[in-house]
Amino acid sequence: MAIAQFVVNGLLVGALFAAVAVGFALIWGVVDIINLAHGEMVMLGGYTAYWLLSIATGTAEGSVLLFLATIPVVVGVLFIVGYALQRTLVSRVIGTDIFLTLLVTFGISIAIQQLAIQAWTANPRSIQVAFADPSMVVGGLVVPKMKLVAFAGAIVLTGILYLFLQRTRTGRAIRAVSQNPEAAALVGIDVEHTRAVTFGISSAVAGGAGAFIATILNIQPQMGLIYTLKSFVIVVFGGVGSIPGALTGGLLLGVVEELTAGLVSSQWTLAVSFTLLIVLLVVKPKGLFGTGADNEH
Amino acid sequence: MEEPMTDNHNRRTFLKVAGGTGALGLTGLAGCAGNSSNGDGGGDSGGSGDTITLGGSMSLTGDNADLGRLYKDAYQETIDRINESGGVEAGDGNTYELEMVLRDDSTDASTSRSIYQELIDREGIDYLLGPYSSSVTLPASAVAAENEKPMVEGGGASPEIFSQGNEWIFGLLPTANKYAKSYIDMALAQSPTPESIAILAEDGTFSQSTAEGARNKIEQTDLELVVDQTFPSGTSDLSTNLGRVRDQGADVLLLCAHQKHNIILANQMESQGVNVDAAMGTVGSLNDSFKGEVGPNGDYIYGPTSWDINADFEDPVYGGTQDFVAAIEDNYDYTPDYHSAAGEAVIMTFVNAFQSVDELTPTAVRNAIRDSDPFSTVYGDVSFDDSGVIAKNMLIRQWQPEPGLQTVYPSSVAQSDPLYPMPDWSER
Repeated sequence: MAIAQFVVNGLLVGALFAAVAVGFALIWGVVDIINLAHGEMVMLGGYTAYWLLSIATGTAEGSVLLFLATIPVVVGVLFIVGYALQRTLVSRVIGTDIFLTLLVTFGISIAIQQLAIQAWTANPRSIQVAFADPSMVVGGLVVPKMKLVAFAGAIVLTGILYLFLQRTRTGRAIRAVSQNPEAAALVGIDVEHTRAVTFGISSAVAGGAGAFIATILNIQPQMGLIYTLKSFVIVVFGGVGSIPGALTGGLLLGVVEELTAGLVSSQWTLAVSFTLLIVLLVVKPKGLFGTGADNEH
Repeated sequence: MEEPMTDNHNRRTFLKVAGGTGALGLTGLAGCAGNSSNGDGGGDSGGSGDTITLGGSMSLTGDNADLGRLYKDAYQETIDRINESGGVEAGDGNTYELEMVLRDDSTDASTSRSIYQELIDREGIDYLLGPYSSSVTLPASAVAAENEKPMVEGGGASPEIFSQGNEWIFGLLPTANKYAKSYIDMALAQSPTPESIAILAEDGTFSQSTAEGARNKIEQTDLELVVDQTFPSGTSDLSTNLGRVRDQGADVLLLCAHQKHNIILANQMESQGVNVDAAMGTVGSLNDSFKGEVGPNGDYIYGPTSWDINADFEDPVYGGTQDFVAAIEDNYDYTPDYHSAAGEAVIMTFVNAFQSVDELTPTAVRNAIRDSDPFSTVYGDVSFDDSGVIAKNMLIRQWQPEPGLQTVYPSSVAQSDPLYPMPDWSER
């Protein structure tokens, strides 16, 4: 029973990891950038929801429906932030040395962190969502209701992104740019605009996940790094550029971390996760679903 | 999507990126760690005419600037008042004015060390005001010892500072290993008497010292330690560890961690259905910002403090604690907290020593501080044990639904009785 509880805990939080990581994978695949500021989009999404709710209620507390009503606004705001970042800063280093792109995105992450500290202080904050009974017991397993809502929200965000890429004209343009930007440009696709839209969409999904994180954990200006690192691990699990892979990788990482915390100790979670990463790189370098990380062309 | 997003990443690129990301990540982590670090202290002694100069470094900019300001203002207000009332009548028969040199270290150890060395070497300062934070104070205290200058500090509480055999450092905050002692004593004095306790501890130095002090205390009682888990500081989810607490049926919960984890604790105790009789977070659980974030989930949670703003200890400069509180509120437009009170006591420790010595030298002043009988300040009675730590235990406060934050232990200063046991979540 204890192991089942750990697995449930892991799946619930793993979906949020996955929703964060799909955007990271998308930018890596389409824009060819390792976005080290991706975790800051999670943070900004959390704060956007926090302040929206604070303005609406005065206390950052509210019903589930009121909280969910903030998500479209968060997604919209973060899309604009991501689009603007790509257009103004990141586009200038695309195609240059990969370390330059790392430094630029790392610099962006530090700048956003420091601005957030100045604006909102370093105090951790959380959104309080009211439930008459905050948890339910299913077959002897404790399932916090807000975690279940966050799980569903993360899956919906990931699913919408997947359908957007598969079914819409813009989505097909994004995929075309990811596969061959020169050929995409030849057939009339505005590559720079498409890359900026990709950056915006990735930031939007990360921001949406950040809003849910603010309800079940907490948010603070320096929270981003750990989500960037987790995204990195998840993308390697799932394979670069694969949304089903990122979703599976996120759920897997969540379960592995919770099982490690439950059966061994919380202190070992990062060590086990990164050991698994190394093992996977050796035995299955393409990841579970993708072909990108190992793909010669 | 079915197709891979990219086909232009080869393995070499990936490994290059992985290495770069790791390096940057580690740089970031190192930067984070550096935020709460080092310093060094120095002091300056009288000697120049009728003035005694006290000198030190402090976090006046950066992440801890708000806290550093509390010390600076308390130092300055106290020194101004002493000078306005005629100065310090020292034991050598002379009367001295006090002067302060306080420089900004941005909570950086190397900056702080340089400041203290400079204060000692170039400005001839003999009496040192300690910096803020344990990790800054530890190297600062080493500079004090190397130069044989007494340092009195109110900003470092790690036991490591006082376990080096350093005879020149005196601390006004009870050390971390004392943080949980009063809480356990309080719980054992309640009815029904708790039989089991759980410890969840962050893996930082300070929190581990707190947990170790708690384990030592528990060994001296009949309490059974049913959960003893350490988690990484970066963890943002305590649900699995709280599940352990719930499953083991612990009566008392002790969280050795900072404010971030206290917020997670309060919220996840509710969502995980963890019903204990008492729960305490060691750092940050008494801040208004903690209660503001967790709302009613923070009710009944305990926290330790070295000082109670409602106390009324006698003080030779201000008259009493409430006069000090009024002075800070009037002159600086904020309400002082224990950092402020400890800052006042830092100055009063030196003043008390200056009044006791026959000859104004660093060694004589050091000996006078070490051997002093307890003397009263706005912070409470001050005297030091053999290692240089103030002989004082923490007070315990509790968030009560009405009227709010209350001092509940020890009974000699309690504003009300502890609300024990905490009601189950289903009954709130």
